[in-house]
Amino acid sequence: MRNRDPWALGSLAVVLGLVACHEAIAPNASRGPAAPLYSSVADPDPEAPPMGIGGSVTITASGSFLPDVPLQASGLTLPPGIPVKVTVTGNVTRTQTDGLKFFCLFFVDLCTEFAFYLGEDPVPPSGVPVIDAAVAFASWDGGEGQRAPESGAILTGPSGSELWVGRSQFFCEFSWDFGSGPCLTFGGSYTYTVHADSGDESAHLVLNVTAQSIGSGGGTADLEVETTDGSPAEDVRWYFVPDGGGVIDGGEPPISVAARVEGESSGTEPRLSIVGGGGERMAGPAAARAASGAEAAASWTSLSSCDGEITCHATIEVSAGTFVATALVHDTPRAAERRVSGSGGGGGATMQLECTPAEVQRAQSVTCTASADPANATLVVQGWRFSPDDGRLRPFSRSSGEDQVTWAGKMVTSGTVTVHGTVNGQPGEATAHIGVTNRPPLTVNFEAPPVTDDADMSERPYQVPDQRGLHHIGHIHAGDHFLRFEGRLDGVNEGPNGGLFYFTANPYDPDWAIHINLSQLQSNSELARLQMDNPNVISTTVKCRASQLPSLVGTIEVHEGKTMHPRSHAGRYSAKFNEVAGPVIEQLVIQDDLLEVTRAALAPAISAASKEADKADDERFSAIPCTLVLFPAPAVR
Amino acid sequence: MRMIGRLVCLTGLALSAAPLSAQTHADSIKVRNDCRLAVQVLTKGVPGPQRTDALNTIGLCGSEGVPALVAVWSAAADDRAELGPLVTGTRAFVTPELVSTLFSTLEQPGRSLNARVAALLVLLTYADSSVVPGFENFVGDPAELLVHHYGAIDHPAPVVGRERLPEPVTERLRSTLQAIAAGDADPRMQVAARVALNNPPLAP
Repeated sequence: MRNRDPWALGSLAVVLGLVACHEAIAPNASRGPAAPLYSSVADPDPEAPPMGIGGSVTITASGSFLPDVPLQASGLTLPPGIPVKVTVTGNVTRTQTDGLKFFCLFFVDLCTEFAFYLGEDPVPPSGVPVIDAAVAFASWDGGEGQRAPESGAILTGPSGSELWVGRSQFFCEFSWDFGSGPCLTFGGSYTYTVHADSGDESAHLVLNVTAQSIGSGGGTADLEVETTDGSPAEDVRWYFVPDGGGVIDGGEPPISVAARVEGESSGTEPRLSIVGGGGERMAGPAAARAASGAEAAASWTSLSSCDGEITCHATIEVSAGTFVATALVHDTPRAAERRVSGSGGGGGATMQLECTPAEVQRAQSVTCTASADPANATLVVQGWRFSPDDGRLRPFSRSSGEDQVTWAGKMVTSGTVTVHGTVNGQPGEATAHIGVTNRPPLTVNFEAPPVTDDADMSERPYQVPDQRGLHHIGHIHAGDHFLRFEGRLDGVNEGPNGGLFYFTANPYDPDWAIHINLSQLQSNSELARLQMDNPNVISTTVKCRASQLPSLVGTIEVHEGKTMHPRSHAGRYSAKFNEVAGPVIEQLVIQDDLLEVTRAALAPAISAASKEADKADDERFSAIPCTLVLFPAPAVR
Repeated sequence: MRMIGRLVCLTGLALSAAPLSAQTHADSIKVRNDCRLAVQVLTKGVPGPQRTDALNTIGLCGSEGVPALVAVWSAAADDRAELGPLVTGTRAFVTPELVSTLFSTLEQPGRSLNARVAALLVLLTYADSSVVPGFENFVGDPAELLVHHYGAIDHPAPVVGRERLPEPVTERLRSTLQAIAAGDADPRMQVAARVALNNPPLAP
């Protein structure tokens, strides 16, 4: 029935491999794992009800020797043929013993060469590579064991009637003149959990509880199945699997280990012996446990009177358990589960959410991870949501991969992440806040504005009395600019801020210009002819002479900002703009309407910069040193 | 508000030291003579060779020049060389007749693009004398025009008579441009209207 030979071969090959690596550490080939290791494995509690879908069974690790846990019935039963996914979570921890540390002080090279096997990194369910130590495996009803992959489910597809689980051995021993001993102390566990395979993103099968009245002695529940894409759920079948849980002690069996160490401690050469892979198989006890499991499997109940219907009114006689519905969705078998409990709240289990780091600088990444507390509770994630702190931005939900337990990506704005789903079948949600700090301001590199003549200036400059400045002599279009986004705007592809945009550089491209009436600031222009030949003979003010006009050009250029003097119009405008707009653009996050939002964000900065630029006139910075005579302003009656 | 604020806090000139009225040339007879000639040239078409000079002069003529400006605007074609000085001259002062003529030019789909934009240029300055854009702000590649912005200038255009208008032109200009942006027969004029609505003094 079971084919465990590959495990045994794997173990032998590795031991031989180690010999080839280093003569001095040649393990004793006869030192295979002791045969009667299963004797320490506890039987599942015969009183415990079957666990079924949503339930779990755990193989623990402890002591200095992890024995082989032969593939055995877990007691986790469910109706056969249900589309499910079985996952293995957790890990086996390992800590170096003081004896090994002392040994390695003398045999540094030896320990360095085998550091990979002697390390203290936790061992995942896929085990220690090469030597296949501490590998989790599983099957249905005692079939061929499947080893845990590095990621994903260990078993998928139609279920059998009972889950069988096992784990390969892991042992390391050092030996030298001063004695021998184990290298590592183990801890941790592997947890095997069965979930209904509800389908892919395009069409989930969902089982809802529309009403329930369940107490400590049982009660009733009203249930309904539906599909997320609205397609029909056909050939619906209904089941109920009572709650339960199981633990298999996979730790050190004291008696067998003592016997084993005693047999291997002879010899004078320093030696490391590391053993993984499968031990000898004992079909008898495993078969006995299978019988135990088969007995428990009778506890799940087919709610056959509801079969073929999408709703079911069920009566149960226990306080908690999991309803299961199977159906054909788009001609594909699917299953859905929903735990119910008389005690409420999923038996006290809660959903947890942690986002790390909890605070990042804008454009750095964060990973949010949902989990259940306790860790062995069944967590089903159904959706994620992000609520920005910035009231200008709308909250939004995750649009793909909603059932994933992590949500990760670049963050550009602070806010609260919410995950919702079920823990042991009970609805729950958890939240976590992520803070985003600012980068340095995104400022604009203002280059000095160009100076040109302007056809729009009058050939006969005039000015309205009491109005500031001489428009037709010179002015600056300080605020003219383009908004450029290419290469300055970046989008967040995924995670809690997926779909948002932020700036990597300021989009404001100055297009400013100084306009000076160069044609009139000449000594032979119409304006020049207006100036008095000998202006200061009878005047109390210094009036400009015609010959002076060309020299005024430089003065006006400096006043407007051709040299970017900090007191000029341009100098003041650029400094104030960067002071205000730099932080604004750095922090600006855009959800939609890019151009409009950017315009609105920059408007206060442009206004502040314009007001600041006006101070060049208030302070009479680089003012014309004489009074110009201008043409009379037009008269309007 | 911007204009009022400037007038209140800045009674002195940054670039000149004395009241401008005292600076005006005592003998303005030449200007008056030039205005009479300009009006004649622009209304009767003779002597023809002096049309350019007339356009450069008419802005200083005030009320006397209104009939000539109305006549020129009513017949304005698409020539930017002539429209440029016409815009400059018309920005010098404002009367209800000029406002009416400019809106008429702006609103008529049958008029040329540059004539309509020229009317828009003047009306924007009537609405806010610190806003003095040019043709290049409204005519050209739409993609570039819509991401370009013009701002206020430091020394506002001296528009005589703004304070005497029975009502500011700003709201009428906004509603006129909204209608043009929504459905003018000339898509280029729709773009020009959108540009104006996105910039001072009409931007929200």
